[in-house]
Amino acid sequence: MWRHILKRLAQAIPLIWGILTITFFISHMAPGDPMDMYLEQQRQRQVDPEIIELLRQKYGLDLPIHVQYVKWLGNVVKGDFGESFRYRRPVLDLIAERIPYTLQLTLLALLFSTSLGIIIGIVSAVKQYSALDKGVTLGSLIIYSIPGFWMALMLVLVFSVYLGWLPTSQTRSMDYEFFSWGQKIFDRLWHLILPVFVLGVGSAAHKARYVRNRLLEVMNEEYILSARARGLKEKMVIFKHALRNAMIPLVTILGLHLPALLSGSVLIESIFAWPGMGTLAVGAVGGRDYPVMMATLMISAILTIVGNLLADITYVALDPRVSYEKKKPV
Amino acid sequence: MKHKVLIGLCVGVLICLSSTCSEKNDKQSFAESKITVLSLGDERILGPVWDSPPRFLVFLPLVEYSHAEPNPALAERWEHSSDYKSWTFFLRKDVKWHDGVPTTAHDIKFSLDLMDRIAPLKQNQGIVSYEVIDDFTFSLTYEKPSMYALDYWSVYWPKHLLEDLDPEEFWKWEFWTQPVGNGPYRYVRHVPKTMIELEANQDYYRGIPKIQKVILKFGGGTPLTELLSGNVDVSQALLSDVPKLRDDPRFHVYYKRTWYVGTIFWNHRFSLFSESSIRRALTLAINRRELARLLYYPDDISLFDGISTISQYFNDDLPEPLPYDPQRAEQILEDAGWYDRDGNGVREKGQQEFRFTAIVDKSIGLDLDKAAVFVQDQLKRVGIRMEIQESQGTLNSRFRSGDYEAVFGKFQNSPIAYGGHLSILGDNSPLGYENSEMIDLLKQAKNEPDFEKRKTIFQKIMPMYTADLPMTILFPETRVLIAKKRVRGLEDYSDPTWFMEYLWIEEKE
Amino acid sequence: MKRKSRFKKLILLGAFMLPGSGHLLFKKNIKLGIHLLLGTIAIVLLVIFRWDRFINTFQSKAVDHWVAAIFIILSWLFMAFISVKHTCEFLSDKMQKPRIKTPLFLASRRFKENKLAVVSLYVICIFYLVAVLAPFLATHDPSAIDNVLETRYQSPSWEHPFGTDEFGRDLYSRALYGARISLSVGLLAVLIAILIGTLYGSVAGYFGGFIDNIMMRFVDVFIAFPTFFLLLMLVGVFEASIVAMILILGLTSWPGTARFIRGEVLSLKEKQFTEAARAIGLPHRTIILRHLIPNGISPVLVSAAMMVSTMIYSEAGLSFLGIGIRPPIPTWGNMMSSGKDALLVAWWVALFPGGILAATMLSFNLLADGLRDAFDPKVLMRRFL
Repeated sequence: MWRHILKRLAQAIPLIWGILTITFFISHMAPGDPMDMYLEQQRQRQVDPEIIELLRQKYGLDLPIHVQYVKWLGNVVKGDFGESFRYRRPVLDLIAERIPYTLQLTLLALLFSTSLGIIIGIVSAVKQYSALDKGVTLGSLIIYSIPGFWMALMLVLVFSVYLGWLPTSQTRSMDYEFFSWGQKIFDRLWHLILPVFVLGVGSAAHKARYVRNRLLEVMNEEYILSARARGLKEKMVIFKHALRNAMIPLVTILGLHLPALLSGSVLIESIFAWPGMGTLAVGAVGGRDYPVMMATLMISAILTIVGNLLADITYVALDPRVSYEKKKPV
Repeated sequence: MKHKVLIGLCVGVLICLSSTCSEKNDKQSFAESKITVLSLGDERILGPVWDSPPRFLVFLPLVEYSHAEPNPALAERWEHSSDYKSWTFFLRKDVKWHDGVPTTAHDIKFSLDLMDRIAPLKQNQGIVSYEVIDDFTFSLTYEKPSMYALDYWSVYWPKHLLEDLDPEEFWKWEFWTQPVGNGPYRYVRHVPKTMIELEANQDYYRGIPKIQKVILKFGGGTPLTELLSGNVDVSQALLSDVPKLRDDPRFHVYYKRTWYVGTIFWNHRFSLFSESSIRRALTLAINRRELARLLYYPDDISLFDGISTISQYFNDDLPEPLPYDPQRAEQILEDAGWYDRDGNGVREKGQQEFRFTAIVDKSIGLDLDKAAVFVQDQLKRVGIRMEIQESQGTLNSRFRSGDYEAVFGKFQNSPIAYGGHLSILGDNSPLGYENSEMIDLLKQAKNEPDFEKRKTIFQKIMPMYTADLPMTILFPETRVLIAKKRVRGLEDYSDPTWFMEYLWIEEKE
Repeated sequence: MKRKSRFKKLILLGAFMLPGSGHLLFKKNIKLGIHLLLGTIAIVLLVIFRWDRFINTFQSKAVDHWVAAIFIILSWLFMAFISVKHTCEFLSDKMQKPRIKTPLFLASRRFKENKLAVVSLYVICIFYLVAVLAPFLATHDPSAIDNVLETRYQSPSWEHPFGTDEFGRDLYSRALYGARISLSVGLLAVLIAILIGTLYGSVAGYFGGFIDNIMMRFVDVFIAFPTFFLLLMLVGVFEASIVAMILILGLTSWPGTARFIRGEVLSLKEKQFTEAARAIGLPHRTIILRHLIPNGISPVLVSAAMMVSTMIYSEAGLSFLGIGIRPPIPTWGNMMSSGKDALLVAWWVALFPGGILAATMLSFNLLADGLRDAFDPKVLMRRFL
């Protein structure tokens, strides 16, 4: 078990190195001079060429690219992602501020989509080939196909603009700081409903299909047949035996869903003015804030790897049938 | 096992929730006259950020501008040598930092020294030297005749609080989020990304400001939602928001002209735009009144073709615009040999089609991207094809180096500051426009402190401008300020935070 | 005898003028006949109702009009050719060749049984037709601005089925023109991705060992990036034109296909026909291109259909954020983006382009589902994943 975890960790290191390298080279493929963007950001009205040269030296832009690369890599390993052109603050600070918001959105969406997916999956597996099953199958495909950002706009239109039930954007109300503790939690959840729903519902459809198919597969296995033969109630068979075995691979699916959720959160965050990594990245692209662009890309990728790693470890921990040594790398 | 995973997930979510919850929770203290202003940015807004009016709530500038004329502020009076190279400022002796220490010329020297060390703040204003003459007298010497000494953006910081701090950490100083200034309001507290609370400075040299408490509110929703929900008293809003607020009895709408002018810059080095008659035809073909309406400008906005002194500009004493006359535009184009012979909707002359690419940078603001779409259609009607290319951030250097055909941009209709007339029409003009006579006059105007004389110089410039028509002026940028009716005094001031001390609250029954 | 040949000629002329009539006349292959006839009627109606534009096309230089007009003429010629060819066969009373039950034939028969998939295939075809014919189907000039104050933000009506936007432009016409960008970006990007991914994956899988290991580690790195963040970065670094957009989307999405086809190739490699090919000394290139890829391609087609849907989504998403293809070129994404700003005043601006986008994505996903079942009926388990 521990050996397996260590092995997976060791495999993750070259992966992360690859991510850093690709990120660096993409950002240095950019046409034009990064200094131009920098000065644009400073809203400087006129700057001495001398100062530009100084700044170029400060940011190491006068060095050959491989030297820049090694230097940059060293800095990143030390946790120094540079300074944002736009906010003039260490990028790591900016990201540390934003990450909890993104995680809270994505993790809640993960929770929501998984629980919804499991419930719908069970229902349609139990009533296999019924009208309900077919309806759920088609419905989940439709929901899966609706672009999240459009769904978000339409839900805002209905629930916020016309009905006025839910807030249009933001993480909290205006008077938030004057609320009591309980009100605060409620207020935060209130603002989370729409974004979490939109972010999660697409992958819930996906998971429902997965759970349904897994469950049907498991139901045909011998131990289920024997459980039935022993005269156990159908409910018992499903919940006690079939479900447990069907659920285990779902853990890996959760890991695989993380990049999709992070991707989806970019659009959802920008619609709901959610102060997460997505809005940070979009803002950075709009303002050509290279250090922030690079950092958001790297960190989102690293989050994905960590997510997959966790899923993998959990999977191994949960499923007694999986041997630790011979598993193929995913 | 599965439960544990679930529980783990829940705990993770809760931790994330609570980590963003744990911000300061203070009881709202009651104040008699309080104003909440929606502001851009965050709690660093009072720090060393350019172009941020809220700074003037806390810090005093040397001179203050109202109606485009410099008035004494921290400097009681000032003198300059006859060649405008050396300037001497006499500071008020009764201005104190909020901690009670008097503001002196040493603070100014310290701030200039500091700005010199922090590269991005260093200004290329051609300052040769500056020195402290006595505690309340300060002098500056410029390389060339200059009016920069009267630049309005600079504020100065307290030496006694900052001199021991490490300049390497400049941007991380706590001082920028908890500033100690010398202006009409003093810092009380802030909640990160939410608000800054300021209170009236009881020792303010002009007397205690009428509004006791100012809350700068950040983030939140759009100006529209913030105003409608009653969260803020004053906010800048989008022009397109006005129709939704105009009939609301709670609010008053103020249109405020900024000194930026939305303009199409034609590159004269590009063969299509080298003739002034063609530029005239292009200008005639654009219905600028309709464009202004499209962008929700008020119907009575003044349009113009020409440049002027800043006071003329703000007092609507502006040269008449060319009319909208597409027939005449077509006539001019045909006289110049541009016909659409092959019926593809685009005029051509010889082998060349009348086609060009205009670059527009959305981040400049002024809804220039929308203006470009409109102009594209307008020119299509007279047989000219304009492609639109959007640029992000790279526009300025391309513009400066002349690497473009046409640009939707803006300039300051002012002879003084950067981005003003000289940067567009002066030496090495990015338009490739050369009129040495006009350049001389513009330079004269720039260094002419007397406003009446300046005006006469512009009267000489105007005919040259009209003859050459180097660019097409679209509209003067106008911002919308929406305030609750009880906030008074806004008629005269463009930005509430800048002139907060002159505002008052009038409660009605 | 002479009369009969004249009669024959008349029928052939009829089949040429009205493709499909021959099929109906001889009551053979009626389904095809109906399709041809409907196509003909559609073309005739289009040309009649847009006669002025059709004629003007040949005097103008507008490329998109030319493309549309030539497409109309070519498709009519194509249908006429098929119709005449079949009618000739009917007249000479040739027996139709018995169909060989190739795997492809079986797959297409299974595909036809899936009603939803067939419908979605029709929908997709119609969308692409609409995109090509947009200049003739549009009711207004998509970029014409006229009298803004009166025309902007008109709610849907007969004159403007989808309403108008902030400039008073007709949203129905803009959605048609937007389809051209969105659909072609999706298709072309997928072609690029499939091409690269298939070659890369099959080479890795075929050679195996160290090469495979290195190549697949690279793919792993690529896959670790959340797509949208990677796209954001690339679009931010390079200014996004339509071509750049296609390249960026195509070049970022091949690793999935590569990993996929590698798996297929790994299993095919062990099969006898590969060993036989190697035994007779065929070069690697031939084995990969002629034997491995054709045999492993069917799952790639399935994933291609799904990829088109994600590509269209990504393009729309980027344009929606204002960093993809920018206005004034209409795409569904940037139309929605302006609709987002106007949500409070004009719901229709965001509703219609998004609805069409959703319909397109749904059709491609249903198509993919249908293809999956058709190619490999046993692998129901892999559906949707």
